[in-house]
Amino acid sequence: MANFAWRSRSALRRVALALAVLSSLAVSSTAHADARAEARTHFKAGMAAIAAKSYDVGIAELEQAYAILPHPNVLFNIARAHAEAGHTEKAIDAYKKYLEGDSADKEEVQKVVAQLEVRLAQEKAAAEPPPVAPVPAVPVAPKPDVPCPDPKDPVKPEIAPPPKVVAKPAPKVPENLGTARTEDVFEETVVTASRGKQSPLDAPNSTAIITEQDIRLSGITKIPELLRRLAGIDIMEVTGGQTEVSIRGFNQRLSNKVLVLVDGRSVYVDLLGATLWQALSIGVEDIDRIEVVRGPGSALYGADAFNGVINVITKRPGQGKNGVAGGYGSQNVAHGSLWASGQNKGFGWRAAAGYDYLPRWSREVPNGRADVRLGVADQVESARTVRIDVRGNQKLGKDTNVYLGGGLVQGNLEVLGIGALNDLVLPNLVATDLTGGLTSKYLDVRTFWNRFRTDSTLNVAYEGQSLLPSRAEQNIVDNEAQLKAGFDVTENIRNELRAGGSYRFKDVNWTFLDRQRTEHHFGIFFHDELSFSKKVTIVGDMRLDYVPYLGRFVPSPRGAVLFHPTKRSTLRATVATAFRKPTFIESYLRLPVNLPVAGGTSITEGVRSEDPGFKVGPERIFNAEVGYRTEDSEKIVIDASAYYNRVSNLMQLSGARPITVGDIAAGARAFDPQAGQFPLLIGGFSNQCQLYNTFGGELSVRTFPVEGLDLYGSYTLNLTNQDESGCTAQDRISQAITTDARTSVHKLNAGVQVRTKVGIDGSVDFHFVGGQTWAEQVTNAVAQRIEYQQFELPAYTLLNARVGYRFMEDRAEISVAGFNLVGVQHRQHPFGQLLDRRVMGLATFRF
Amino acid sequence: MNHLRAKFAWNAPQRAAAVIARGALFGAVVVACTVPIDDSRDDKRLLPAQGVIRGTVTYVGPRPCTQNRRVVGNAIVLAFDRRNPPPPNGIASGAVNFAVVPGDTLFANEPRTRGAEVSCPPTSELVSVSSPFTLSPLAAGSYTLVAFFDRGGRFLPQFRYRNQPEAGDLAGGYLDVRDAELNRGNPAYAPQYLPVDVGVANADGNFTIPPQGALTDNVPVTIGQTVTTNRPYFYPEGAQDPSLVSPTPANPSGDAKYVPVITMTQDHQILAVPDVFNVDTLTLYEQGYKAVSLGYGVPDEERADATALDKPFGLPLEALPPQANGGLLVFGRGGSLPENQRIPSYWPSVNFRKLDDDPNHEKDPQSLSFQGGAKAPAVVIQGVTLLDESMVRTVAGPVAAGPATSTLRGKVRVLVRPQALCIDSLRPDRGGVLVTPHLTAKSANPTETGERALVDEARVKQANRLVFEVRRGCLPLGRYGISAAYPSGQVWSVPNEAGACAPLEGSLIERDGTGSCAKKPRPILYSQGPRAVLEIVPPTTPEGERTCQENPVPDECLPSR
Repeated sequence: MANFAWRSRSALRRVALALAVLSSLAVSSTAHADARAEARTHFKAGMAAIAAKSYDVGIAELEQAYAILPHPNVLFNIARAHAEAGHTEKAIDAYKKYLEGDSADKEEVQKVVAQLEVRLAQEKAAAEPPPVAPVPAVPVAPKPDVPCPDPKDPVKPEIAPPPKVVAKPAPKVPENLGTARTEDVFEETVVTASRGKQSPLDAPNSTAIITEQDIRLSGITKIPELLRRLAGIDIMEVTGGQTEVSIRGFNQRLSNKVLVLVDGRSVYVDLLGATLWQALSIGVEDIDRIEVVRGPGSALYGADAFNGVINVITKRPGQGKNGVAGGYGSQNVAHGSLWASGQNKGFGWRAAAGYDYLPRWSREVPNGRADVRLGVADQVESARTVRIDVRGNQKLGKDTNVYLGGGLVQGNLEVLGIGALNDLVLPNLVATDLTGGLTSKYLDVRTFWNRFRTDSTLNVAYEGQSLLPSRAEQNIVDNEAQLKAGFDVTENIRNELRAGGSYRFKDVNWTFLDRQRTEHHFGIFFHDELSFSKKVTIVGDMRLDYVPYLGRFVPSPRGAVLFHPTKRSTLRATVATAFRKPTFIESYLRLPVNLPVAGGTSITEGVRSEDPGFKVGPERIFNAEVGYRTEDSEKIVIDASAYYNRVSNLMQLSGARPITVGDIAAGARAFDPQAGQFPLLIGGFSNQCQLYNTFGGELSVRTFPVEGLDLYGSYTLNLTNQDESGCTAQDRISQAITTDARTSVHKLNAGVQVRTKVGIDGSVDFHFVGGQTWAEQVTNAVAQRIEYQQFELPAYTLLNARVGYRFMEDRAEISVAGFNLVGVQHRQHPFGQLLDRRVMGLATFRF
Repeated sequence: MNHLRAKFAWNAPQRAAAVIARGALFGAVVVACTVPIDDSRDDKRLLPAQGVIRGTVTYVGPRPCTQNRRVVGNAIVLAFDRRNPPPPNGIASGAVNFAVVPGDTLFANEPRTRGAEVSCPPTSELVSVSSPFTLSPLAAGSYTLVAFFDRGGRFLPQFRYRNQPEAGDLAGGYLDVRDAELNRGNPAYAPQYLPVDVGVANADGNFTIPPQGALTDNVPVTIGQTVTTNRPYFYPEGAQDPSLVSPTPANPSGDAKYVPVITMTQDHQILAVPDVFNVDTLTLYEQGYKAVSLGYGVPDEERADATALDKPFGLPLEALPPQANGGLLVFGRGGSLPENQRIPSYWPSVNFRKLDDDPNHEKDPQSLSFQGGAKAPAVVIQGVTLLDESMVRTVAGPVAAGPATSTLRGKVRVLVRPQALCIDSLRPDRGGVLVTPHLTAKSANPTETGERALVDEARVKQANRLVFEVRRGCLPLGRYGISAAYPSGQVWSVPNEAGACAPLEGSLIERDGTGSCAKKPRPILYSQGPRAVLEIVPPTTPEGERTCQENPVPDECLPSR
């Protein structure tokens, strides 16, 4: 223990020292940490100066903003300011640079450039002196009454004045330079909270954003790990390749209460009811930003957006440069990515590929076990995937785009599932998607096909027991159309309306299901925002989802009121509900589960053989929330929220029911000749009788005290009360219900980012996660039943850091990133692998 | 080139930074590449090291029956803890593990009928086949492997009424084959099971599973001995009769379905064995006991439901002789009662085992759950099987040496000894405490005066190796199920699943004297239901109360609190 304390202190000292050095580098020179905030500062100053006709000052500010975070509008404004200031040549250069991008107003700008070029020609012409014939110096005879010239002061020959040149009128500044782009182009925007672009200040839910810079400076190569810094987010690294994400609690193995989108496309694996992050066809290098919406999202996205939505927004086709990145580190962890992007005549494309190898944090099965057999020989690998992702976008007009793209992931993955599938290996996993759609001013249409196919086997089973081999294939076709309209009701009242419908086809063929299952889901949604004098906004949402398993529509309303005390602050009150529908595994499972007797098995089934009409109900959440966000100061952003959640009907494995005489009398199969086992028990899924009342809050602060330094901190409070008043005595006996406190009461995140002009970047992130008490369902081998048992998970801290060096004009970068640098071995789930320190070296080259 | 060099020229801080970064990168790469073994998890979820028995089942016997292109029946290999064998030698209520070798696997090359009717070749056609089996997971220990081939395809391990071999099945196990060869032709020969040790033997005789697990391989299991008898099917007389409401401590509501067929106070006083045996003294001696009569099979009104093959029980209840060979086999055990060496002991061995306390009948409405486990001892009261329902006939004999048609009886009367053996059901080999409310009694012969010892501790220990100590104390209160066992290990117990509805089957529906279950309709055999118990009740006399105050139930007999 003493040794550990010394190690901890020593490590902390080293980190503090490194931090101090980096901070001093940051403040001693021009640098920038939160690029967006700093670019915004320069942009605002520049636009103010230009408005005051101080063009040189204004242009300099805009150029600084553009250098920090290039944005086409800034370039446009620079060009425009040059044009106004009469810097025609510079204006043309800037406009041409602007035109290199994929601008919607290309034709107009080209006309401006043409006019400016004429003007430039005229200016040049005007600047050249007209050809004047040489005038010979004619000595003028001195007048007689004029004394002779002093030889020391010879009389200069009188030169005839040149002929007077009549100046041509200066060419006019083109009348239509285009309107200055005065909107805050560096303001953070979110598209997830209301299915449309808006400031986080206008979002009806708590929102948070992980920026591209956050990603780059963190050195993190696993997408879900990027979210750890956010308030209200529960991150749980279960195995090397499996990280589970939840929002405001209720995390679990194969977390199923957060809807994860990639560019708005759901990547929910319906057959399991989970997001397999390693099965995404994108790497961290492909991400533009990640938006997180805390709170129920079913009103917009339907089932499964239970306690939040995470939208991973990738770089646009045509955006960014080409590049290659790679990393290698502890236990042979490896990461590689390469990407290319191009733009031509309104067509943009982006292609990316990558490779990831993630070893297990720890091995559960040592070599030489005589009593078990293994599903896979390699007990070190947790995930090994290759991915490719290609997207294209064609502009069809000012506001209209069509896009098409696809992705592919192939590899192996190890996950800890629930129940009998607690240690599962997915060899030969293939996940593909094909997405196409149209966006326009008034209509968005999108369709995508997600295919997920894998084999699976238990990682380990006792000799004589089944490894439960299976093959699964899931095909999802999702279609959605959304109408958008915004109009002024009166001078001070504006209405934003969105309405649409969706159809989702699901087809799952899986060894573990009773048979191949197909479902047709429908949904209609309606979203309306009514703004009064830009001070008050009322938001109303309603969505109806038809869930075929339940055979009925499930409504999901949401309402919010937003008040802006100042232009850049918001007080928000929201009430919402959401639901999670039973997944395929919860609805249609039929799986013989190993029991601690070789000749017996427990049949886990969704469709109850003795009660075929039984249905597992959807999980429900009711949320009431108030929030406050201020961006009044350019130096600090504060976001706070307090909420109440009432969660009911959570799905769980039901207590196994013994086969009864009545089952035999009804013709139940008493012996399974294929498995060579007698079914002794029947299990399945049911809804918990427990309710959960959660009072919680989040406070996030991000500040940029000086250029080059970005500090953030967040605190999360979660007080969950388990209400068992609805449980019967039989419930308590059959499930051995225990108190579940799986969500930490306190969580704390803090960190610093430093980016220096000399090219050294650094970031340090600290995370504290309070102790947890998990009520996990396990098989009681003695009682031969599934029951809750409590597992204590001690509090843990993480210290992650990265230091990197940019060179070759920021084209190249090398860095080293460390996870859990203090090296405290810990688990993030009671059954999870034993996490330790992991260090990785990374290199990136962009061209 | 010079242009590029100038463009990318680094100044001194950059060079320094580059050195730092590259050094860090190098350090990052030079890191441990091993993934540690996680052996610190305590949830036992990921398969802690256990034992495995692997071997081969060899079947020598008649060719199997087939139906619908499948072989009827399977080979079942049951593992019993040698420290805790099943009745009649122990109290194990079931095997610790069992494996199945499907008939289709064992008789892979056997021709099969396509028809829906069961087709059985003549039993004279013998075949020898083998197939591997695996038993896992097993705790460290020494095991006995008992096996049989369920020729009739009747075996249902989860139900007491169908979880043992019947006449016509073939039995075996991991046997001492040489010993069997030496005893070939001996009708009284009992096969000797050899131990199968799992784990590493310790100096204290116990076993330990090593970290890498323990595999005991190449264990030969032989099946070839035809089982000649059915299980000792019985019902306690009166159990089929819906009784009047009669509250007892274990049934405070007086629910008619749970009124015991027999009660005995926990201080019950019997008479001592007389010195002089005659009809009067033996009758008096017998009358000192509480007794229960066990009828063969089921009552007549339940027979159709019990035996119908299209109903879930299908009990093989043959008619009594001379029509057929049904009945309870009552024959000598080759010894005498510990009470007196002149009183022979008989099969079937009958005992009464305490059920879990469940006064409201919520946890275990079928009264199936025997008390025993980590937090409660097993409590067993042994009965005295009488020949022809009389102590006089029991003593008079003749004592049949083995099962035969002549030993079949339609009824067996059993005396309830007021002695309870309280024993750790997880380690019965350590022995238990035999509790009796009285150590002495008056003789059953009125002419013989004075108090006489009721228990000869030495003889008791000799007769029952599970008895470690004899102690005076009142009997533990509660309901006791009844079991009868043959020396073959075939046992029949009541209450069983046939007699009441399980919670998942719904509540009992009674109509025209027959019963069914609300959710899952099926016949109810009342004679096998929760009434078929002995209940030990508190004393009913001041003297008895004083006895129990002075000699309370020992702690060893009570569940830990």
